[in-house]
Amino acid sequence: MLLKNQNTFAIEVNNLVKTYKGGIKALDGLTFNIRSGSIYGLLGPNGAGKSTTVKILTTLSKPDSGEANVLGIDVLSQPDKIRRIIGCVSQKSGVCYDSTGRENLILQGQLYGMGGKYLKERVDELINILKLEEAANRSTLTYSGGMLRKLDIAMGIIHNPQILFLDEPTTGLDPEARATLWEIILNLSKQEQVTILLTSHYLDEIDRLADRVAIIDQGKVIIEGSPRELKDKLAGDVIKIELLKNYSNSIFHVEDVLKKQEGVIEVKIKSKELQLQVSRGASILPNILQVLQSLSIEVASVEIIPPSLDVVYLKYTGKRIEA
Amino acid sequence: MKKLIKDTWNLAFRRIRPTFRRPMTIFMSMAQPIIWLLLFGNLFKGIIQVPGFFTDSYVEYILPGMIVMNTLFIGIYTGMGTLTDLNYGALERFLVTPINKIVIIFSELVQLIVLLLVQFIMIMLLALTMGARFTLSISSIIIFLTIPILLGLGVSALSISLALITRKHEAMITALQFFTLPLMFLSSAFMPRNLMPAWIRTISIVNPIDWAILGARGVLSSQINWTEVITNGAMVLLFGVICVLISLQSFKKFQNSI
Ligand SMILES: Nc1ncnc2c1ncn2[C@@H]1O[C@H](COP(=O)(O)OP(=O)(O)OP(=O)(O)O)[C@@H](O)[C@H]1O
Ligand SMILES: [Mg+2]
Repeated sequence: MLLKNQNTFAIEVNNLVKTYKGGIKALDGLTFNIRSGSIYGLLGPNGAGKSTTVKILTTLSKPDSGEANVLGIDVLSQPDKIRRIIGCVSQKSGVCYDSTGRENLILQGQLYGMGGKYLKERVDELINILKLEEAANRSTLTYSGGMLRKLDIAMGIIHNPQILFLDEPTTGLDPEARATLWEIILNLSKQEQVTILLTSHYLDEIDRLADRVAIIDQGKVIIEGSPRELKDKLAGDVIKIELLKNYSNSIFHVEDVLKKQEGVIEVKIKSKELQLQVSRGASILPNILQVLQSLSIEVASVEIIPPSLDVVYLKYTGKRIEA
Repeated sequence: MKKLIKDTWNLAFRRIRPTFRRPMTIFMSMAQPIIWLLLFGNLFKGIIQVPGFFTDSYVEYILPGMIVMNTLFIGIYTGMGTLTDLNYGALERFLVTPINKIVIIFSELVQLIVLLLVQFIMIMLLALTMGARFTLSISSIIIFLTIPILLGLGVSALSISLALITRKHEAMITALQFFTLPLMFLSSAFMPRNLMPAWIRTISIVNPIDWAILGARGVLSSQINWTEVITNGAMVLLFGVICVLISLQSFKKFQNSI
Protein backbone atom coordinates (compact mmCIF):
# COMPACT_ATOMS: atom_id res chain seq x y z
CA MET A 1 0.00 0.00 0.00
CA LEU A 2 1.32 3.37 -0.99
CA LEU A 3 0.32 4.91 2.30
CA LYS A 4 2.63 2.63 4.25
CA ASN A 5 5.63 4.23 2.56
CA GLN A 6 8.01 5.52 5.20
CA ASN A 7 8.24 8.89 3.54
CA THR A 8 4.59 9.74 3.30
CA PHE A 9 2.67 11.43 6.03
CA ALA A 10 -0.25 9.59 7.58
CA ILE A 11 -1.51 12.72 9.27
CA GLU A 12 -1.12 16.26 8.04
CA VAL A 13 -2.23 19.20 10.13
CA ASN A 14 -1.98 22.63 8.64
CA ASN A 15 -2.63 25.90 10.39
CA LEU A 16 -5.57 24.76 12.51
CA VAL A 17 -7.47 27.41 14.44
CA LYS A 18 -10.23 26.56 16.89
CA THR A 19 -12.09 29.02 19.06
CA TYR A 20 -14.56 27.83 21.67
CA LYS A 21 -17.56 29.72 22.91
CA GLY A 22 -16.47 32.60 25.10
CA GLY A 23 -13.54 33.37 22.84
CA ILE A 24 -11.17 30.71 24.18
CA LYS A 25 -8.61 30.11 21.48
CA ALA A 26 -7.78 26.44 21.90
CA LEU A 27 -5.75 26.18 18.68
CA ASP A 28 -3.96 29.08 17.12
CA GLY A 29 -2.32 28.02 13.88
CA LEU A 30 -1.27 24.50 14.76
CA THR A 31 0.85 22.73 12.15
CA PHE A 32 2.58 19.34 12.17
CA ASN A 33 2.91 16.16 10.13
CA ILE A 34 3.12 12.56 11.24
CA ARG A 35 4.98 9.95 9.26
CA SER A 36 3.17 6.78 8.43
CA GLY A 37 3.84 4.07 10.99
CA SER A 38 5.47 6.34 13.53
CA ILE A 39 4.57 7.38 17.04
CA TYR A 40 4.11 11.08 17.45
CA GLY A 41 4.07 12.63 20.91
CA LEU A 42 2.20 15.77 21.85
CA LEU A 43 3.42 17.47 25.00
CA GLY A 44 2.15 20.64 26.58
CA PRO A 45 0.72 22.13 29.74
CA ASN A 46 -2.97 21.87 30.70
CA GLY A 47 -5.11 23.72 28.22
CA ALA A 48 -2.41 23.76 25.53
CA GLY A 49 -4.79 22.30 22.98
CA LYS A 50 -3.75 18.64 22.86
CA SER A 51 -7.22 17.18 23.33
CA THR A 52 -8.69 19.75 20.97
CA THR A 53 -6.26 18.55 18.32
CA VAL A 54 -7.29 14.96 18.92
CA LYS A 55 -10.98 15.89 18.75
CA ILE A 56 -10.54 17.60 15.41
CA LEU A 57 -8.53 14.75 13.93
CA THR A 58 -11.10 12.20 15.11
CA THR A 59 -13.93 14.24 13.53
CA LEU A 60 -15.53 15.10 16.87
CA SER A 61 -15.15 18.83 16.48
CA LYS A 62 -14.64 21.18 13.61
CA PRO A 63 -11.88 23.77 13.33
CA ASP A 64 -12.65 27.41 12.49
CA SER A 65 -10.01 27.33 9.79
CA GLY A 66 -7.04 25.35 8.57
CA GLU A 67 -6.84 21.84 7.18
CA ALA A 68 -6.23 18.38 8.47
CA ASN A 69 -6.16 15.05 6.73
CA VAL A 70 -5.67 11.48 7.78
CA LEU A 71 -4.25 9.11 5.16
CA GLY A 72 -4.98 11.84 2.67
CA ILE A 73 -8.66 12.00 3.60
CA ASP A 74 -9.93 15.42 4.55
CA VAL A 75 -11.25 15.52 8.10
CA LEU A 76 -13.90 18.10 7.31
CA SER A 77 -15.33 16.83 4.05
CA GLN A 78 -15.19 13.06 4.62
CA PRO A 79 -15.57 12.39 8.33
CA ASP A 80 -17.37 9.07 7.73
CA LYS A 81 -14.43 7.66 5.85
CA ILE A 82 -12.04 8.73 8.59
CA ARG A 83 -14.09 7.12 11.34
CA ARG A 84 -13.69 3.76 9.66
CA ILE A 85 -9.88 3.82 9.75
CA ILE A 86 -9.13 5.40 13.10
CA GLY A 87 -9.28 4.28 16.69
CA CYS A 88 -9.39 6.63 19.62
CA VAL A 89 -8.81 6.48 23.34
CA SER A 90 -9.92 9.88 24.53
CA GLN A 91 -8.83 11.60 27.69
CA LYS A 92 -12.29 11.14 29.18
CA SER A 93 -13.34 7.55 29.72
CA GLY A 94 -16.03 6.36 27.34
CA VAL A 95 -17.32 3.34 29.20
CA CYS A 96 -21.03 2.53 29.37
CA TYR A 97 -22.12 1.89 32.91
CA ASP A 98 -24.78 -0.71 33.59
CA SER A 99 -22.89 -3.07 31.30
CA THR A 100 -20.00 -5.41 31.96
CA GLY A 101 -16.55 -4.91 30.49
CA ARG A 102 -17.12 -7.69 28.02
CA GLU A 103 -20.46 -6.24 26.93
CA ASN A 104 -18.81 -2.88 26.39
CA LEU A 105 -16.17 -4.47 24.18
CA ILE A 106 -18.68 -6.46 22.18
CA LEU A 107 -20.83 -3.39 21.54
CA GLN A 108 -17.78 -1.41 20.46
CA GLY A 109 -16.80 -4.18 18.04
CA GLN A 110 -20.33 -4.35 16.65
CA LEU A 111 -20.35 -0.63 15.98
CA TYR A 112 -17.27 -1.21 13.81
CA GLY A 113 -19.12 -3.93 11.93
CA MET A 114 -17.42 -6.85 13.67
CA GLY A 115 -19.37 -9.87 14.80
CA GLY A 116 -19.59 -13.57 15.37
CA LYS A 117 -16.72 -15.77 16.43
CA TYR A 118 -14.12 -13.31 15.20
CA LEU A 119 -15.37 -10.62 17.55
CA LYS A 120 -15.62 -13.04 20.46
CA GLU A 121 -12.04 -14.13 19.99
CA ARG A 122 -10.80 -10.57 19.66
CA VAL A 123 -12.60 -9.60 22.87
CA ASP A 124 -11.07 -12.54 24.73
CA GLU A 125 -7.65 -11.65 23.37
CA LEU A 126 -7.90 -8.04 24.56
CA ILE A 127 -9.23 -9.03 27.96
CA ASN A 128 -6.26 -11.33 28.22
CA ILE A 129 -3.64 -8.81 27.07
CA LEU A 130 -4.90 -6.11 29.38
CA LYS A 131 -5.31 -8.54 32.26
CA LEU A 132 -8.98 -7.81 32.76
CA GLU A 133 -10.01 -11.49 33.06
CA GLU A 134 -11.16 -11.19 36.63
CA ALA A 135 -13.25 -8.08 35.98
CA ALA A 136 -14.53 -8.76 32.47
CA ASN A 137 -17.92 -10.11 33.50
CA ARG A 138 -18.60 -7.59 36.21
CA SER A 139 -20.53 -4.35 35.81
CA THR A 140 -18.14 -1.52 35.03
CA LEU A 141 -19.70 0.35 37.95
CA THR A 142 -17.45 -1.78 40.14
CA TYR A 143 -14.25 -0.99 38.21
CA SER A 144 -11.30 0.94 39.61
CA GLY A 145 -10.00 3.94 37.68
CA GLY A 146 -7.16 1.93 36.19
CA MET A 147 -9.48 -0.89 35.12
CA LEU A 148 -11.74 1.60 33.34
CA ARG A 149 -8.71 3.00 31.57
CA LYS A 150 -7.65 -0.44 30.43
CA LEU A 151 -11.15 -1.03 29.10
CA ASP A 152 -10.98 2.30 27.25
CA ILE A 153 -7.74 1.21 25.64
CA ALA A 154 -9.14 -2.17 24.65
CA MET A 155 -12.16 -0.46 23.07
CA GLY A 156 -9.91 1.93 21.19
CA ILE A 157 -7.94 -0.82 19.46
CA ILE A 158 -10.53 -3.59 19.14
CA HIS A 159 -11.01 -3.08 15.40
CA ASN A 160 -7.28 -2.97 14.57
CA PRO A 161 -7.27 0.63 13.34
CA GLN A 162 -4.59 1.89 10.99
CA ILE A 163 -4.38 5.16 12.84
CA LEU A 164 -4.63 5.40 16.59
CA PHE A 165 -5.18 8.43 18.80
CA LEU A 166 -4.23 8.07 22.44
CA ASP A 167 -5.06 11.03 24.66
CA GLU A 168 -3.27 10.49 27.96
CA PRO A 169 -3.86 6.75 27.82
CA THR A 170 -1.77 5.81 30.85
CA THR A 171 -3.14 8.33 33.33
CA GLY A 172 -4.21 6.38 36.39
CA LEU A 173 -2.45 3.14 35.47
CA ASP A 174 -0.13 1.32 37.86
CA PRO A 175 3.49 0.81 36.75
CA GLU A 176 2.85 -2.73 35.58
CA ALA A 177 -0.16 -1.77 33.50
CA ARG A 178 1.77 1.15 32.09
CA ALA A 179 4.61 -1.13 31.03
CA THR A 180 2.08 -3.44 29.39
CA LEU A 181 0.57 -0.55 27.50
CA TRP A 182 3.97 0.68 26.37
CA GLU A 183 4.62 -2.76 24.99
CA ILE A 184 1.27 -2.76 23.18
CA ILE A 185 1.93 0.67 21.71
CA LEU A 186 5.44 -0.19 20.54
CA ASN A 187 4.20 -3.44 19.09
CA LEU A 188 1.39 -1.74 17.17
CA SER A 189 3.83 0.75 15.74
CA LYS A 190 6.75 -1.52 14.95
CA GLN A 191 5.00 -4.77 13.97
CA GLU A 192 1.77 -3.53 12.49
CA GLN A 193 2.85 -0.11 11.22
CA VAL A 194 0.01 1.63 12.99
CA THR A 195 0.46 5.39 13.06
CA ILE A 196 -0.03 6.68 16.58
CA LEU A 197 -0.64 10.14 17.98
CA LEU A 198 0.07 10.05 21.70
CA THR A 199 -0.42 12.79 24.26
CA SER A 200 0.94 12.47 27.74
CA HIS A 201 2.11 14.38 30.75
CA TYR A 202 4.69 11.72 31.47
CA LEU A 203 7.87 12.81 29.79
CA ASP A 204 9.56 9.48 30.25
CA GLU A 205 6.68 7.91 28.37
CA ILE A 206 7.07 10.23 25.39
CA ASP A 207 10.84 9.88 25.52
CA ARG A 208 10.56 6.12 25.47
CA LEU A 209 7.81 5.75 22.86
CA ALA A 210 7.72 8.71 20.51
CA ASP A 211 9.68 8.89 17.29
CA ARG A 212 8.96 12.58 17.14
CA VAL A 213 7.59 15.07 19.64
CA ALA A 214 5.92 18.43 19.41
CA ILE A 215 5.72 20.63 22.45
CA ILE A 216 2.66 22.80 22.14
CA ASP A 217 1.49 25.73 24.20
CA GLN A 218 -1.47 28.02 23.68
CA GLY A 219 -2.50 26.20 20.57
CA LYS A 220 0.81 26.47 18.74
CA VAL A 221 3.76 24.16 18.20
CA ILE A 222 6.71 25.69 20.03
CA ILE A 223 9.29 23.15 19.04
CA GLU A 224 9.28 19.86 17.19
CA GLY A 225 11.77 17.07 16.64
CA SER A 226 12.82 13.64 17.80
CA PRO A 227 13.32 13.38 21.56
CA ARG A 228 17.08 13.02 20.88
CA GLU A 229 17.19 16.20 18.78
CA LEU A 230 15.31 18.19 21.36
CA LYS A 231 17.62 17.05 24.12
CA ASP A 232 20.72 17.75 22.04
CA LYS A 233 19.57 21.30 21.53
CA LEU A 234 20.03 21.77 25.23
CA ALA A 235 23.56 22.15 26.42
CA GLY A 236 24.87 18.66 27.17
CA ASP A 237 24.85 16.48 30.24
CA VAL A 238 24.97 16.85 33.97
CA ILE A 239 27.83 15.26 35.98
CA LYS A 240 26.91 14.51 39.54
CA ILE A 241 29.84 13.86 41.90
CA GLU A 242 29.41 12.70 45.45
CA LEU A 243 32.32 13.52 47.76
CA LEU A 244 33.60 11.42 50.65
CA LYS A 245 33.69 14.26 53.13
CA ASN A 246 32.45 17.76 53.56
CA TYR A 247 35.16 20.07 52.22
CA SER A 248 33.55 23.25 53.44
CA ASN A 249 36.84 25.22 53.74
CA SER A 250 38.32 24.68 50.32
CA ILE A 251 35.10 24.33 48.42
CA PHE A 252 34.96 27.82 46.92
CA HIS A 253 38.41 27.36 45.55
CA VAL A 254 37.29 24.08 43.97
CA GLU A 255 34.36 25.79 42.34
CA ASP A 256 36.62 28.38 40.76
CA VAL A 257 39.04 25.82 39.43
CA LEU A 258 36.33 23.61 37.98
CA LYS A 259 34.62 26.50 36.25
CA LYS A 260 37.83 27.20 34.34
CA GLN A 261 37.99 23.70 32.84
CA GLU A 262 37.09 23.34 29.20
CA GLY A 263 33.52 22.19 28.51
CA VAL A 264 32.19 23.10 31.93
CA ILE A 265 29.26 25.45 31.73
CA GLU A 266 28.01 25.66 35.27
CA VAL A 267 29.01 24.36 38.70
CA LYS A 268 26.70 23.88 41.66
CA ILE A 269 27.88 22.74 45.08
CA LYS A 270 25.70 21.42 47.86
CA SER A 271 27.63 20.21 50.93
CA LYS A 272 28.93 16.82 49.77
CA GLU A 273 27.61 17.01 46.24
CA LEU A 274 29.01 18.65 43.10
CA GLN A 275 26.79 19.19 40.11
CA LEU A 276 28.39 20.19 36.82
CA GLN A 277 26.59 21.20 33.66
CA VAL A 278 28.92 20.14 30.86
CA SER A 279 28.86 19.88 27.10
CA ARG A 280 29.80 16.21 26.74
CA GLY A 281 29.95 14.30 30.00
CA ALA A 282 31.85 11.23 28.94
CA SER A 283 34.85 13.02 27.45
CA ILE A 284 35.14 15.68 30.14
CA LEU A 285 34.85 13.44 33.16
CA PRO A 286 38.48 12.12 33.23
CA ASN A 287 39.87 15.62 33.33
CA ILE A 288 37.49 16.66 36.10
CA LEU A 289 38.48 13.69 38.22
CA GLN A 290 42.13 14.50 37.72
CA VAL A 291 41.60 18.07 38.83
CA LEU A 292 39.79 16.91 41.96
CA GLN A 293 42.60 14.52 42.77
CA SER A 294 45.21 17.24 42.41
CA LEU A 295 43.21 19.27 44.94
CA SER A 296 43.20 16.16 47.18
CA ILE A 297 39.45 15.93 47.19
CA GLU A 298 38.25 12.36 47.49
CA VAL A 299 35.36 11.20 45.34
CA ALA A 300 32.80 8.67 46.53
CA SER A 301 30.74 8.23 43.36
CA VAL A 302 30.20 9.74 39.93
CA GLU A 303 27.15 9.82 37.71
CA ILE A 304 26.60 11.23 34.23
CA ILE A 305 23.00 12.27 33.67
CA PRO A 306 22.04 12.71 30.03
CA PRO A 307 19.65 15.54 29.27
CA SER A 308 16.02 14.65 29.85
CA LEU A 309 12.84 15.79 28.21
CA ASP A 310 11.91 17.33 31.54
CA VAL A 311 14.60 19.91 31.03
CA VAL A 312 13.53 20.47 27.46
CA TYR A 313 9.92 20.85 28.48
CA LEU A 314 10.79 23.25 31.24
CA LYS A 315 12.88 25.34 28.94
CA TYR A 316 10.23 25.72 26.25
CA THR A 317 7.07 26.06 28.26
CA GLY A 318 8.48 27.68 31.35
CA LYS A 319 6.40 25.25 33.35
CA ARG A 320 7.34 22.18 35.29
CA ILE A 321 5.38 19.04 34.74
CA GLU A 322 3.92 17.54 37.84
CA ALA A 323 3.70 13.81 37.47
CA MET B 1 -29.78 0.58 5.89
CA LYS B 2 -29.10 -2.85 7.33
CA LYS B 3 -26.22 -1.42 9.35
CA LEU B 4 -28.46 1.42 10.52
CA ILE B 5 -31.00 -1.01 11.94
CA LYS B 6 -28.33 -3.27 13.42
CA ASP B 7 -26.53 -0.36 15.11
CA THR B 8 -29.80 1.00 16.46
CA TRP B 9 -30.73 -2.35 17.92
CA ASN B 10 -27.27 -2.96 19.39
CA LEU B 11 -27.24 0.43 21.07
CA ALA B 12 -30.82 0.02 22.28
CA PHE B 13 -30.05 -3.42 23.61
CA ARG B 14 -27.37 -2.11 25.94
CA ARG B 15 -30.15 -0.18 27.72
CA ILE B 16 -32.80 -2.89 27.50
CA ARG B 17 -30.50 -5.53 28.99
CA PRO B 18 -29.98 -3.90 32.40
CA THR B 19 -33.68 -3.06 32.64
CA PHE B 20 -34.68 -6.67 32.19
CA ARG B 21 -31.89 -7.82 34.45
CA ARG B 22 -33.72 -6.00 37.22
CA PRO B 23 -37.40 -6.54 36.41
CA MET B 24 -38.37 -4.60 39.50
CA THR B 25 -37.48 -1.38 37.70
CA ILE B 26 -40.12 -2.16 35.11
CA PHE B 27 -42.77 -2.37 37.82
CA MET B 28 -41.47 0.53 39.84
CA SER B 29 -41.44 2.87 36.87
CA MET B 30 -45.11 2.15 36.14
CA ALA B 31 -46.24 2.42 39.75
CA GLN B 32 -47.78 5.86 39.32
CA PRO B 33 -50.27 5.11 36.55
CA ILE B 34 -51.21 1.84 38.21
CA ILE B 35 -51.92 3.48 41.54
CA TRP B 36 -53.99 6.08 39.75
CA LEU B 37 -55.86 3.43 37.90
CA LEU B 38 -56.67 1.58 41.13
CA LEU B 39 -57.39 4.70 43.13
CA PHE B 40 -59.37 6.75 40.65
CA GLY B 41 -60.97 3.71 39.14
CA ASN B 42 -62.51 2.83 42.48
CA LEU B 43 -62.89 6.26 44.04
CA PHE B 44 -64.89 7.69 41.16
CA LYS B 45 -66.76 4.54 40.25
CA GLY B 46 -70.05 6.39 40.55
CA ILE B 47 -69.01 9.34 38.40
CA ILE B 48 -70.29 7.67 35.27
CA GLN B 49 -73.85 8.34 36.47
CA VAL B 50 -73.22 11.98 35.54
CA PRO B 51 -74.94 12.68 32.23
CA GLY B 52 -72.32 13.19 29.54
CA PHE B 53 -70.26 10.08 30.37
CA PHE B 54 -70.91 7.63 27.61
CA THR B 55 -69.43 4.58 29.28
CA ASP B 56 -70.46 1.94 31.74
CA SER B 57 -67.14 1.58 33.54
CA TYR B 58 -64.91 4.40 34.82
CA VAL B 59 -61.87 2.11 34.73
CA GLU B 60 -62.54 1.70 31.05
CA TYR B 61 -62.82 5.46 30.70
CA ILE B 62 -59.53 6.36 32.39
CA LEU B 63 -57.54 3.45 30.98
CA PRO B 64 -56.37 5.31 27.84
CA GLY B 65 -55.37 8.26 30.01
CA MET B 66 -53.36 6.02 32.31
CA ILE B 67 -51.62 4.38 29.38
CA VAL B 68 -50.72 7.81 28.05
CA MET B 69 -49.62 8.89 31.52
CA ASN B 70 -47.33 5.90 31.68
CA THR B 71 -45.66 6.78 28.39
CA LEU B 72 -45.23 10.35 29.61
CA PHE B 73 -43.72 9.44 32.95
CA ILE B 74 -41.33 6.99 31.33
CA GLY B 75 -40.62 9.19 28.32
CA ILE B 76 -39.48 12.23 30.25
CA TYR B 77 -36.67 10.20 31.82
CA THR B 78 -35.14 9.17 28.50
CA GLY B 79 -32.77 12.12 28.60
CA MET B 80 -31.23 10.75 31.80
CA GLY B 81 -29.54 8.00 29.84
CA THR B 82 -28.30 10.48 27.26
CA LEU B 83 -26.96 12.66 30.03
CA THR B 84 -25.10 9.77 31.64
CA ASP B 85 -23.53 8.94 28.28
CA LEU B 86 -22.61 12.57 27.82
CA ASN B 87 -21.06 12.98 31.25
CA TYR B 88 -19.14 9.73 31.17
CA GLY B 89 -17.82 10.28 27.65
CA ALA B 90 -19.66 7.38 26.00
CA LEU B 91 -21.49 9.78 23.70
CA GLU B 92 -18.22 11.10 22.32
CA ARG B 93 -16.95 7.57 21.90
CA PHE B 94 -20.00 6.65 19.82
CA LEU B 95 -19.52 9.76 17.70
CA VAL B 96 -16.03 8.61 16.74
CA THR B 97 -17.28 5.21 15.56
CA PRO B 98 -18.63 4.75 12.03
CA ILE B 99 -22.32 4.89 12.95
CA ASN B 100 -24.90 7.37 11.77
CA LYS B 101 -25.54 9.80 14.60
CA ILE B 102 -29.29 9.39 14.13
CA VAL B 103 -28.76 5.90 15.50
CA ILE B 104 -27.87 7.34 18.90
CA ILE B 105 -31.25 9.04 19.23
CA PHE B 106 -33.24 6.27 17.55
CA SER B 107 -31.77 3.68 19.88
CA GLU B 108 -33.13 5.56 22.87
CA LEU B 109 -36.56 5.57 21.25
CA VAL B 110 -36.42 1.87 20.43
CA GLN B 111 -35.57 0.91 24.00
CA LEU B 112 -38.48 3.08 25.12
CA ILE B 113 -40.87 1.26 22.79
CA VAL B 114 -39.78 -2.13 24.11
CA LEU B 115 -40.26 -1.06 27.71
CA LEU B 116 -43.63 0.55 27.00
CA LEU B 117 -44.98 -2.48 25.20
CA VAL B 118 -44.19 -4.68 28.17
CA GLN B 119 -45.84 -2.23 30.51
CA PHE B 120 -48.92 -1.82 28.31
CA ILE B 121 -49.58 -5.51 28.48
CA MET B 122 -49.40 -5.39 32.25
CA ILE B 123 -51.67 -2.38 32.52
CA MET B 124 -54.22 -3.95 30.19
CA LEU B 125 -54.24 -7.14 32.22
CA LEU B 126 -54.78 -5.11 35.37
CA ALA B 127 -57.66 -3.21 33.80
CA LEU B 128 -59.27 -6.46 32.70
CA THR B 129 -59.11 -7.85 36.22
CA MET B 130 -60.73 -4.62 37.41
CA GLY B 131 -63.71 -5.24 35.20
CA ALA B 132 -62.99 -3.32 32.03
CA ARG B 133 -64.23 -5.16 28.95
CA PHE B 134 -63.37 -4.45 25.34
CA THR B 135 -63.89 -6.14 22.06
CA LEU B 136 -60.80 -5.27 20.07
CA SER B 137 -59.63 -6.34 16.68
CA ILE B 138 -55.94 -6.74 15.99
CA SER B 139 -55.82 -3.49 14.05
CA SER B 140 -57.50 -1.52 16.82
CA ILE B 141 -55.08 -2.96 19.40
CA ILE B 142 -52.19 -1.83 17.23
CA ILE B 143 -53.65 1.65 16.90
CA PHE B 144 -54.47 1.73 20.61
CA LEU B 145 -50.81 1.08 21.42
CA THR B 146 -49.25 3.09 18.61
CA ILE B 147 -50.81 6.43 19.41
CA PRO B 148 -49.55 6.66 23.02
CA ILE B 149 -46.16 5.36 21.89
CA LEU B 150 -45.92 8.13 19.30
CA LEU B 151 -46.59 10.63 22.04
CA GLY B 152 -43.96 8.93 24.21
CA LEU B 153 -41.43 9.16 21.41
CA GLY B 154 -42.10 12.88 21.09
CA VAL B 155 -41.76 13.44 24.80
CA SER B 156 -38.58 11.41 25.06
CA ALA B 157 -37.09 13.26 22.10
CA LEU B 158 -37.82 16.48 23.98
CA SER B 159 -36.23 14.99 27.07
CA ILE B 160 -33.10 14.13 25.08
CA SER B 161 -33.01 17.67 23.69
CA LEU B 162 -33.29 19.15 27.16
CA ALA B 163 -30.54 16.85 28.40
CA LEU B 164 -28.21 17.93 25.60
CA ILE B 165 -28.97 21.60 26.13
CA THR B 166 -29.15 21.92 29.93
CA ARG B 167 -26.66 19.12 30.70
CA LYS B 168 -28.10 18.87 34.19
CA HIS B 169 -30.33 16.15 35.60
CA GLU B 170 -32.25 18.39 37.95
CA ALA B 171 -32.92 21.13 35.44
CA MET B 172 -34.11 18.66 32.86
CA ILE B 173 -36.40 16.59 35.09
CA THR B 174 -37.83 19.59 36.90
CA ALA B 175 -38.71 21.26 33.63
CA LEU B 176 -40.49 18.18 32.32
CA GLN B 177 -42.26 17.26 35.53
CA PHE B 178 -43.51 20.81 35.77
CA PHE B 179 -45.56 20.23 32.65
CA THR B 180 -46.62 16.60 32.73
CA LEU B 181 -49.02 16.43 35.66
CA PRO B 182 -50.87 19.70 34.96
CA LEU B 183 -51.17 18.73 31.31
CA MET B 184 -52.69 15.42 32.36
CA PHE B 185 -55.44 17.31 34.19
CA LEU B 186 -55.84 19.69 31.28
CA SER B 187 -56.90 16.74 29.16
CA SER B 188 -59.86 14.43 28.96
CA ALA B 189 -58.00 11.74 30.92
CA PHE B 190 -60.38 11.93 33.87
CA MET B 191 -63.31 13.91 32.53
CA PRO B 192 -64.72 14.14 29.01
CA ARG B 193 -64.34 17.45 27.20
CA ASN B 194 -68.06 18.21 27.27
CA LEU B 195 -68.01 18.24 31.07
CA MET B 196 -64.93 20.51 31.39
CA PRO B 197 -64.97 24.21 32.20
CA ALA B 198 -64.64 26.16 28.98
CA TRP B 199 -61.05 27.34 29.54
CA ILE B 200 -59.78 23.86 30.26
CA ARG B 201 -61.55 22.59 27.16
CA THR B 202 -59.76 25.25 25.11
CA ILE B 203 -56.38 24.17 26.47
CA SER B 204 -57.16 20.49 25.99
CA ILE B 205 -57.79 21.12 22.31
CA VAL B 206 -54.16 22.17 21.81
CA ASN B 207 -52.76 19.65 24.29
CA PRO B 208 -50.89 16.82 22.52
CA ILE B 209 -51.55 14.61 25.54
CA ASP B 210 -55.27 14.93 24.91
CA TRP B 211 -54.85 14.11 21.22
CA ALA B 212 -53.22 10.87 22.23
CA ILE B 213 -55.90 10.08 24.82
CA LEU B 214 -58.77 10.81 22.44
CA GLY B 215 -57.14 8.81 19.69
CA ALA B 216 -56.55 5.82 21.94
CA ARG B 217 -59.98 6.00 23.58
CA GLY B 218 -61.57 6.26 20.16
CA VAL B 219 -60.59 2.72 19.17
CA LEU B 220 -61.92 1.31 22.46
CA SER B 221 -65.52 2.32 21.88
CA SER B 222 -67.97 -0.09 20.36
CA GLN B 223 -68.70 2.13 17.37
CA ILE B 224 -65.35 3.51 16.35
CA ASN B 225 -65.41 7.07 15.06
CA TRP B 226 -62.57 6.69 12.58
CA THR B 227 -62.39 10.38 11.67
CA GLU B 228 -61.70 11.22 15.28
CA VAL B 229 -59.15 8.44 15.72
CA ILE B 230 -57.30 9.32 12.54
CA THR B 231 -57.22 13.09 13.05
CA ASN B 232 -55.98 12.72 16.61
CA GLY B 233 -53.54 10.02 15.62
CA ALA B 234 -52.18 12.17 12.81
CA MET B 235 -51.73 15.14 15.12
CA VAL B 236 -49.81 13.00 17.62
CA LEU B 237 -47.67 11.70 14.79
CA LEU B 238 -46.95 15.25 13.70
CA PHE B 239 -46.06 16.15 17.28
CA GLY B 240 -43.70 13.17 17.47
CA VAL B 241 -41.99 14.02 14.20
CA ILE B 242 -41.48 17.65 15.19
CA CYS B 243 -39.99 16.62 18.54
CA VAL B 244 -37.59 14.19 16.87
CA LEU B 245 -36.52 16.93 14.48
CA ILE B 246 -35.92 19.21 17.46
CA SER B 247 -33.79 16.55 19.11
CA LEU B 248 -31.70 16.14 15.97
CA GLN B 249 -31.17 19.87 15.96
CA SER B 250 -30.13 19.82 19.63
CA PHE B 251 -27.73 17.04 18.82
CA LYS B 252 -26.13 19.17 16.14
CA LYS B 253 -25.81 21.97 18.64
CA PHE B 254 -24.22 19.64 21.14
CA GLN B 255 -21.72 18.46 18.52
CA ASN B 256 -20.76 22.03 17.79
CA SER B 257 -19.96 22.56 21.46
CA ILE B 258 -17.49 19.67 21.71
N1 LIG C 1 -15.87 21.88 24.84
C1 LIG C 1 -15.18 23.00 25.19
N2 LIG C 1 -15.84 24.16 25.39
C2 LIG C 1 -15.16 25.28 25.71
N3 LIG C 1 -13.83 25.35 25.88
C3 LIG C 1 -13.12 24.22 25.70
C4 LIG C 1 -13.75 22.99 25.36
N4 LIG C 1 -12.80 22.05 25.24
C5 LIG C 1 -11.62 22.66 25.51
N5 LIG C 1 -11.80 23.97 25.78
C6 LIG C 1 -10.75 24.96 26.07
O1 LIG C 1 -9.76 24.89 25.06
C7 LIG C 1 -8.46 24.98 25.60
C8 LIG C 1 -7.65 23.77 25.19
O2 LIG C 1 -8.18 22.62 25.83
P1 LIG C 1 -7.62 21.15 25.59
O3 LIG C 1 -8.60 20.23 26.23
O4 LIG C 1 -7.34 20.95 24.15
O5 LIG C 1 -6.27 21.16 26.41
P2 LIG C 1 -5.23 19.98 26.69
O6 LIG C 1 -3.96 20.38 26.08
O7 LIG C 1 -5.81 18.70 26.27
O8 LIG C 1 -5.13 20.05 28.27
P3 LIG C 1 -4.96 18.88 29.36
O9 LIG C 1 -3.52 18.60 29.48
O10 LIG C 1 -5.48 19.51 30.60
O11 LIG C 1 -5.78 17.73 28.92
C9 LIG C 1 -8.64 25.12 27.10
O12 LIG C 1 -8.54 26.49 27.42
C10 LIG C 1 -10.03 24.63 27.36
O13 LIG C 1 -10.60 25.31 28.44
MG1 LIG D 1 -6.38 17.03 27.21
